[in-house]
Amino acid sequence: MNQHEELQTRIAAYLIDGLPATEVHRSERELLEHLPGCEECRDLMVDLREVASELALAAQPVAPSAHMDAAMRRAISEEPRLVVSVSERKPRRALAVALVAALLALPTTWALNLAGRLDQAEREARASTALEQLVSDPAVRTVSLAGKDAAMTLVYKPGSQGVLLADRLSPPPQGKVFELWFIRSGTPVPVDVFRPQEGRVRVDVSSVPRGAEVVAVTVEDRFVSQPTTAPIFVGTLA
Amino acid sequence: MVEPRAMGASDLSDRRDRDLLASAAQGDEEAFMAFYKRYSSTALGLSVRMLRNRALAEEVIQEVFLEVWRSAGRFDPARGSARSWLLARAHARTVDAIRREEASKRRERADAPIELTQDHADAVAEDDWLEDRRAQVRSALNRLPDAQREVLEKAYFGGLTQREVADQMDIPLGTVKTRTLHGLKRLKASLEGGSR
Repeated sequence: MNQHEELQTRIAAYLIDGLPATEVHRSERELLEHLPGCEECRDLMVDLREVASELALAAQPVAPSAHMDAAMRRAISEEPRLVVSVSERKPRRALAVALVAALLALPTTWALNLAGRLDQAEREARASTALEQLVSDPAVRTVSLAGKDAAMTLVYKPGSQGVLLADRLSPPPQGKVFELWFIRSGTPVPVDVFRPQEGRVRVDVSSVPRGAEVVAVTVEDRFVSQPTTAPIFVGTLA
Repeated sequence: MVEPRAMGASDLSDRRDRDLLASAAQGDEEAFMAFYKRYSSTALGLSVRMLRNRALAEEVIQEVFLEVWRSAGRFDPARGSARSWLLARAHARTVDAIRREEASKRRERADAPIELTQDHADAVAEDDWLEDRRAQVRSALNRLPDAQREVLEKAYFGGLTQREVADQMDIPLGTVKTRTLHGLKRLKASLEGGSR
């Protein structure tokens, strides 16, 4: 199977949520690199997106309970549409909101920029939705990753998504990338590689491993499954 | 406004969905509830089948619709139908639930796969076009070669990763990948051939 065929199978897996969380981000990046130059794969993505979601129709419909209907109506009445407005009660959440407000105005990382030629709107919508979920959730936490001359911030929900943010960050040495890790029971779990753009970083994390104790960033030649250098940014998860 | 081609029931429905979401984005709760009423049974049916736990499925789908309520203004009809947008979210969030440790434990505690009684089916009142589309999708799925259908069903309805499907079926991962791709392609061709 050549790379083109492999990516086509990746598109199919992605559209039915068949990739493990640890591969989603990397696969998205590879697809975003490939799709702009490949009309066949772009068409495939569009063609299969709709049919993948229609598989849902094969399931037997189940009418919601009266309780669910009532809860839904109550929830939308009580749910402020602007997430910022619900998040001003606690300093921690206010901080998260400020961070999110700031990052929404940021240019995205180099990987996300590739999306500009095809799927940026979708990705932004998804990322924004994920962020909205984060700041509107009382379980959201923020962690500072201390480094020598700078710091990064992770806004996350344990066992769910998160986002790593930084500003005024110097780039890694020429030819190198930063790599984000979670460490659980002493075992590093790789997340993704990234580079700051104009000093700014935003890395979406689809799933922060439950039970992870440490979040760290190393400098690597490329995406690796085991760190080859000591972390230059480290933070402790609550 | 003159439409470029004759509109089918599905097209009309898509337009209705867009209008509902546009109104919901302006804070129209009744428009949102109309969208919810239209698709909640479909989304919940999907989640129940995947989770085999009705209470948990209701939690997940309620959260999905809340997410839609919050982000209705971001729906872009140029990128696909509102139905597809919703159902993709419902599937993704249910997969998240399946893969969460807590959900797995709750599934294990469930005594048996949920049996959908006739009462459930009778309680669902759907638009005719949606019933028709449902029949078309089921028929197309049933016409797939067994090998492709089994892989698609395990991954999509089981919430399994492709590696997990390969392990369960004791077949190579590459085979799962190609069966998934070819299955979806064939499904699309089949639906296009019989849907309009």
